[in-house]
Amino acid sequence: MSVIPLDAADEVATEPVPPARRRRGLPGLLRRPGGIFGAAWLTFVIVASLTAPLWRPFEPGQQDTANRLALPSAEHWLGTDPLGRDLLSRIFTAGSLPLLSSALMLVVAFGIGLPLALIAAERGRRVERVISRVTEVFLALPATILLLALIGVIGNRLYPVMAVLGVLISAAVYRVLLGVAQSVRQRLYVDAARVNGLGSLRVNLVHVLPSMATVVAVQAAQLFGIGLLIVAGLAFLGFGPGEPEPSWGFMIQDASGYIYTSPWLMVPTGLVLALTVVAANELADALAGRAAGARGTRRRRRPLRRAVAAAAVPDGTPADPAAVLEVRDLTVSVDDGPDLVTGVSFSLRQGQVLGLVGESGCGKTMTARSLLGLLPDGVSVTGGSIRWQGRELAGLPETELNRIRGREIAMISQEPMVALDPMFSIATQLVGPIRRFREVGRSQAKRIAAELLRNVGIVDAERVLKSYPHQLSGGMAQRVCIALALTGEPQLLVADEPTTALDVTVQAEILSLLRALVRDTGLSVVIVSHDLGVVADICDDVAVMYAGQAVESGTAEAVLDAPAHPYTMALLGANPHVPEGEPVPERLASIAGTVPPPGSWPTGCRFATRCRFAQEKCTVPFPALPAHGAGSVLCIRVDELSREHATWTPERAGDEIQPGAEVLAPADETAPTAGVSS
Amino acid sequence: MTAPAGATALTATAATPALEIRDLVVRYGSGRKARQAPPAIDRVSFDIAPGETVGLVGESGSGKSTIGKAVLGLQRPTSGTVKLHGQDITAMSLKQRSRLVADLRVVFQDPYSSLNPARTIGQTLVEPLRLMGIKGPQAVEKARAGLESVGLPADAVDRYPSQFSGGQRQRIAIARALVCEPKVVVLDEPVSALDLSTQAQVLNLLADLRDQRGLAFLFIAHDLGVVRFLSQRTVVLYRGQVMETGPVEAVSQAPRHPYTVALTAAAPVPRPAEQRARRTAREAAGFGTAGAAAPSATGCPFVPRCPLATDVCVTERPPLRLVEGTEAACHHAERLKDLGAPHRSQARGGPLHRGRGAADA
Ligand SMILES: Nc1ncnc2c1ncn2[C@@H]1O[C@H](COP(=O)(O)OP(=O)(O)OP(=O)(O)O)[C@@H](O)[C@H]1O
Ligand code: SF4
Ligand code: SF4
Ligand SMILES: [Mg+2]
Repeated sequence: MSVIPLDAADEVATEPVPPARRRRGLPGLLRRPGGIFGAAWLTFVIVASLTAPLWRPFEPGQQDTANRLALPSAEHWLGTDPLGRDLLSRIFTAGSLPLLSSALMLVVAFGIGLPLALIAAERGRRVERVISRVTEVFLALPATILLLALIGVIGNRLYPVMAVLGVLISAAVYRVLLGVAQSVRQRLYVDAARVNGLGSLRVNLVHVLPSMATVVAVQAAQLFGIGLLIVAGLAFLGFGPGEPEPSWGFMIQDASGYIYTSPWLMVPTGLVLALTVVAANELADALAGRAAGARGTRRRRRPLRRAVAAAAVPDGTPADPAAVLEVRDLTVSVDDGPDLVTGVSFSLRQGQVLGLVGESGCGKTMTARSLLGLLPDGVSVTGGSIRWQGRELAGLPETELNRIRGREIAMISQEPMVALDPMFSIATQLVGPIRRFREVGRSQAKRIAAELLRNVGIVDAERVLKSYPHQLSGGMAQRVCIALALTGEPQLLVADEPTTALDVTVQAEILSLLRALVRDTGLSVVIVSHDLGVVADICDDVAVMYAGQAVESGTAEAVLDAPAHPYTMALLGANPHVPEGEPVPERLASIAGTVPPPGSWPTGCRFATRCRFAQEKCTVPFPALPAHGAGSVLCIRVDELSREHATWTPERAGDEIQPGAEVLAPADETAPTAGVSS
Repeated sequence: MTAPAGATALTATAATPALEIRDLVVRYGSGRKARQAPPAIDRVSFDIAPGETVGLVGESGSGKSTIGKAVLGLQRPTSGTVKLHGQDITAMSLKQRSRLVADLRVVFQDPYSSLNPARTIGQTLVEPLRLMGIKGPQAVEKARAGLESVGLPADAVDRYPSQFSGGQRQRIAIARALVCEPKVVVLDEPVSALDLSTQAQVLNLLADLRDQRGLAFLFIAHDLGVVRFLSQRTVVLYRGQVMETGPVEAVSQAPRHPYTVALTAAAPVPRPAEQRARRTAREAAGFGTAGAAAPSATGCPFVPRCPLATDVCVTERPPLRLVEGTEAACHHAERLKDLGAPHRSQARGGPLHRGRGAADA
């Protein structure tokens, strides 16, 4: 009777609900119509039933023989039953039994299932196995027969019956909650608390349980609905409180006898029962939906909104005639929100590799994704132009972009395991796109798939074709992803942090592979990285990004060997990989503070708040200056700094433990922006 | 300053080590299948002197975190001992450990999952103090001071983790580890989830705190460059076994084990010309692709990737032995120059050991 499948439960639970979110949670819940309805109706039914003796217009047993089977009237709002008893009074008088006994069932089920799940998750495999075996026995018991047998022994006493049902259901509750508890226990703050010596009870109460709250609530709401149905069902079968005591099940059974002569009789009771069960389920859905929604799992693609294709060559910069890709003044914004990328320009020749480098949150990923029109929901290109082989891509409708994606421009991403579908073999995942892109038959597609795998350096292609993603190592999976990207024989590959998740030795292999592809097939590559070493290894050109702008660009050699922009200098200084033979510095160069989020960029130089060389004049807007040959640099003091041979020197020892080393943003401004990162 | 100048694996100081790991073996799981698989940690031994930082490097799955967990008591070792200032803590419960005078704390890699999102920073920091009997306003005062000691404003106590950036969260995690004034801290990849400039801030902070308080660090990382910055000695791990160990400068500048050479050569440097030369050298050395499993459990685990491998490597596990200043577990360490590795003499530009304390001396 597990109500949500295990992994769905885990999904729901993987994100703990922080208080900030919880505060926003209730309105969020109420924004779903089902959630409002569920919460409101349940509250109403519970309050009305428990207080029925105080307000009911008639005693539930009081017969009005003149008014049998009456339709609703001013006197009897919901009509009367065959004995002329007031339905409204009877329905709500009857309500407390199913509601309370279902609640009892819940208390018993969770009272047993939850602690067992916590214990099993904590004590490790052996204890878990024992508990799981026992609960399996419970799950295998025929619950209905047991309940009926029990009623045979103790009579129609619903509270003990529902309590026993709670015991049986606790096995299902345990099953679902175990998975959740195990995943919460893997979070590092649980380990940290244990290292601190926190007792097991407190670890569970303070660190594990709160993160399980949503799942518990979802489960409880659903089980509550089921409990109501079971109580009603038992009463329907005659195992409820006997006449003249009112009960929902018996009233429905009674009404079914008059279904042809007085159909109304069925309506009030049936509706209240149905609505209550539906309300419990709706509430459960809304709770589950809120948890899932909070994870930001929405990732539908949407056609680019309007895009302003500005003049291909603004501000007189001569477009490189040999460039295959020419990006000018690209602006990417959140719809009705801040800009994420502004005025980014670069060009790329065939067979060249361009690196976009910078810290997270600087707009690298947004820039790269806009090349394929693959921006997240609610984000679009709002200015500038992206010319690909002479064609304007900004503002192109989704259908046309779709023709370009995969065939002309392909993409690989940071997490190879996420890009591959765990359900299908590698062969299946390669053959589909090959057949689509190359219009060949299945057997030939298979041949091409093997060849592609060999081209990306996989020796035993046949074996890999037969495997499933989880059977591959990270490096192997990234090779497969590259092969997948090559199925449409693209001329441009956009690689977003393709090696970040990999070991250095594997990273070196993947970079060698990309380099070989560029050399042998004339592929052009735009690679996003935060690692200047990767840029030095593979890129011909580089654009250093900071807060949505390209602050310095040029050939990789010029930019890395003779950085002109203070931000580039700082990044290089922060890199602990010192040149061969040189000693490691006592302290590294670092940049105080953090990248300002979109929407709160300073005017003038966006780096000014963190720059050691900032002056008054840096805070007024200024244009980029040409530098490094065909590149540019966005710093008003660039000439002065180069005359002064300015360098971004390391900290002094002890600087980081001075009070005030870190300055906090005001509390309300630190909320993450629209889940957009790059 | 407490860093013992010249303390190396070879000439262990007379003082009791802050942390002593002997013949550590860790197997995950139970049952026959698990017993037949090679253990996650296979006979690992090393010491950390008081005030010393030992860097533990290796690629993903090499067992770095497992060693950290075994030291912290989060994972029960299959065999071997862990001693903290001479006291055997291998079988001690977490609660008992937290009451030790020179206790042991931890900073984890992921700044996002290592703080409970539902608790304020103050609550998080006060928690370990309460267990030591420090309560109420006194504990809050200590928490505030702890935040200031890692460069954060004291009023951060009232905020929730979601209001901090990754680097700031890592400072908080460091503050939590240090409020109880431990002597030994396990740092499990404390900077690998951070951006470069933030990584530099946190590394500087760790160096400052260590110098100020004479802390001993077990510093786990996958990046030799980062390890070289913070550590005095390093232990290179591959598939649960120690491949090489010695002073950090010696190991990173003139490695004596083919795996260390592969690891060093693969890390890209941000200088295009130098990187090109390194890449050429690495490609010429001819290391096999990562991921292949060793053909035999009894031999050297690096056989499938090693350009120097011979028959003896398949049949016999090489013991750790002294090779020109470091200890390396390789039958053919003397032939390493065939891989283009620099000679030890070449690297002897400055003092081999550059401990913080040594630098001052
Ligand atoms: N809880 C566990 N159960 C079973 N096997 C495990 C468990 N944790 C780790 N392992 C295995 O033990 C080996 C060592 O893992 P460990 O996490 O110590 O490596 P690591 O060097 O820290 O890697 P990374 O750099 O990825 O953090 C790996 O093969 C891993 O798959
Ligand atoms: S413009 Fe001013 S603040 Fe900006 S990088 Fe240049 S010197 Fe620094
Ligand atoms: S023992 Fe043999 S296989 Fe192992 S590293 Fe040395 S040479 Fe290579
Ligand atoms: Mg690890």
